[in-house]
Amino acid sequence: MYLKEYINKLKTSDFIDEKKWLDQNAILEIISEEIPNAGTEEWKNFKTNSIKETSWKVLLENSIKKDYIKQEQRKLPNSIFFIDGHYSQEASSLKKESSINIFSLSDYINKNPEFKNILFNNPSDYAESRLSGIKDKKPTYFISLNSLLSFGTVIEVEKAKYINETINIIHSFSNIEPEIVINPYIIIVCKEGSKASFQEISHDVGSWNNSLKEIFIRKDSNLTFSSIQERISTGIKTSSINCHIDENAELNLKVLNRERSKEDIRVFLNKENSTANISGIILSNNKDESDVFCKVTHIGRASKSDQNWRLISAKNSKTAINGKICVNKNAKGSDASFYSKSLLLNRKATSFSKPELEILEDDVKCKHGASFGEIDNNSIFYMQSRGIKKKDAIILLIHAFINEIGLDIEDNSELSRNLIDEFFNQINEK
Amino acid sequence: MLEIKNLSVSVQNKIIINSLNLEIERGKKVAIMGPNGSGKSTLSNVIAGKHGYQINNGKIFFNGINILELDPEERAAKGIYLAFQYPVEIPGIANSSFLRTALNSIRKYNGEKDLNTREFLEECKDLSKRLNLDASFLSRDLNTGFSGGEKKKNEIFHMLMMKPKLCILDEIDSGLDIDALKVISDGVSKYSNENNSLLIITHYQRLLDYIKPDEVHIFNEGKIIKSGDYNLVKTLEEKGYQEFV
Ligand SMILES: Nc1ncnc2c1ncn2[C@@H]1O[C@H](COP(=O)(O)OP(=O)(O)OP(=O)(O)O)[C@@H](O)[C@H]1O
Ligand SMILES: [Mg+2]
Repeated sequence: MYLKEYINKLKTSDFIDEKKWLDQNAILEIISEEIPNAGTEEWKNFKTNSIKETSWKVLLENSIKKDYIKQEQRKLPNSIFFIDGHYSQEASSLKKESSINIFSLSDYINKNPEFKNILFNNPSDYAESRLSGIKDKKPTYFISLNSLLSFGTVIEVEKAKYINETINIIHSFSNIEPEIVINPYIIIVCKEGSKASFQEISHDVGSWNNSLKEIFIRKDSNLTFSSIQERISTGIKTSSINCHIDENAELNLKVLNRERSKEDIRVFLNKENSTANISGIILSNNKDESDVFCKVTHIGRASKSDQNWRLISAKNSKTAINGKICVNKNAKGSDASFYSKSLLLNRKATSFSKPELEILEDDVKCKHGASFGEIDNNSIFYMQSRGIKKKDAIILLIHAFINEIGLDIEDNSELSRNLIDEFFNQINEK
Repeated sequence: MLEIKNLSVSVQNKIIINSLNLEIERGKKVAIMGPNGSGKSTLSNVIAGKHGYQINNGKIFFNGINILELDPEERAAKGIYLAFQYPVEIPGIANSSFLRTALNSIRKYNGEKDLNTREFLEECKDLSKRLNLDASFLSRDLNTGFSGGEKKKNEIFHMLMMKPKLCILDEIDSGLDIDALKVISDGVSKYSNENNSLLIITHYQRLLDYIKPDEVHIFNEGKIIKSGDYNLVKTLEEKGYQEFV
């Protein structure tokens, strides 16, 4: 079914029954929303033309072949699988005693009616304002779209449970038709006093992957969440991550974004002593754009946030990070920092970094910085003088640049190799 | 082992090395002293193969092969090692894994198979102990946040692990405390034998007191203006460069 058709149906038909946790007015409002364009602050480094110009189709039901599930399943233990944006219990391999529970969003809301209010704080706005009660209405078309198209899967970490082993969340795609929009919608709830670590891996998708994650980190709990995008060959990725952090709770968020991707991260440090450490790698190659908007809002006292970004642009590509720090009135004793480092592998490559501060409280510490540079020739010579080939030295340096963030990326050197080809040819010509 | 013939090098059309002739025989320890800016580091870099210098004239032979055409990594594989005056900080690569990559790269070049990781690590540990270098330096990022003296020690650590034939030490003694100087000098002296050669660039007598060079050259404006044995160091220490230039 075409996306437009589907949205029109939602407006009128019984479809709404399946989404009854949504507010009817909210739906109507979303439908009138426009896809954001470069005129919007959060989107100015990312072109949405290709999204606008395509007649997208949606995948409504789970139509995944059994053998596809089997084939996926073999790969990783301790994994939660999403195939074409839908949770697949069959493909998942989570251990029974894992202290992790998985629900559909509607089941979860039935079980915990109060969660509806938490999730859709102010449903008539159905914009960012629905999150943590912060009034900041900005185009969130993609978030909204996602919630309409997808049923939502809740991953809950049980109260006071420490899970030592990292749990994989794998997104794989069976349908390779190019004009399909896939909408994984994941809600993670870390209950009081719990501790868990997730690594989300999105496989290459040839279509439009529009994902939404809502993360709730309750009092005294601790979550490490790494989100890694594999190479995007022909598709496009838009993604939103919203994080809500309570008292004495901590989020360690690591992301890897690349090629034709747009990430929108909102972190709310809602309560006293809440902490968010955000680090990420933004890569771009060829003529692509990879853009991240990351806004951290300090609401609780003595809340801490730290952003640390590494950007690499190769060939004619562009990388961008817009890091916004808001400290609300009364968030006394808060501490926020932003740092980004961009590496340009080509004269034609570009990178943007824009730290932005909006501070309404006096008693806070805030620092920010950004640096831009090319690969350092002295470093290359140093490595060569120890016997390492020039090309390998450059790969290692890119590798090292990425490693500073401490993300475990399996295809790290493969990835660096891909980025440097052109660059290497160019410096060799000199 | 090393033979420099009539070498002239310039940077941005300014002559830095001027018709230099220098020979370092196998098993010999040769010291070069000279005022700031006289071209000592430039010479080391040119021997090691750094790009960006104009070689106007001359040849550098290493064991009979003209190495000017070789890439720095090929020279390293043939056994030339440069301990940098200013070692480069490279965050994101652990010291030991860098060293292992370097060693394996050289082994590959010479048709040998990769190092045994366990043996490598054991050797690393033993050696770092000998150099009084805390074991944490193995896992720390390459030179990153190392103090000046620690960086110098690490250069010697790399050298002793790589076992080169020609060791060029560019001001290895600057920034070292008295104990560190002794440890490093000991390490270098013990390494020195009839099969390898040392080129020691320094401003100070103290290092040479430990290492006891066979030959001493005084360098100025890109060439050797005076040569002699160890006694030349003493004269220099007493009278300064003024006497010679
Ligand atoms: N890349 C360069 N660009 C411009 N000038 C250079 C460059 N490299 C070296 N020089 C110049 O060449 C001269 C020799 O420098 P070099 O570093 O070789 O001196 P040095 O003898 O090692 O001095 P020091 O004892 O202070 O280490 C200096 O005048 C220096 O400024
Ligand atoms: Mg020098």
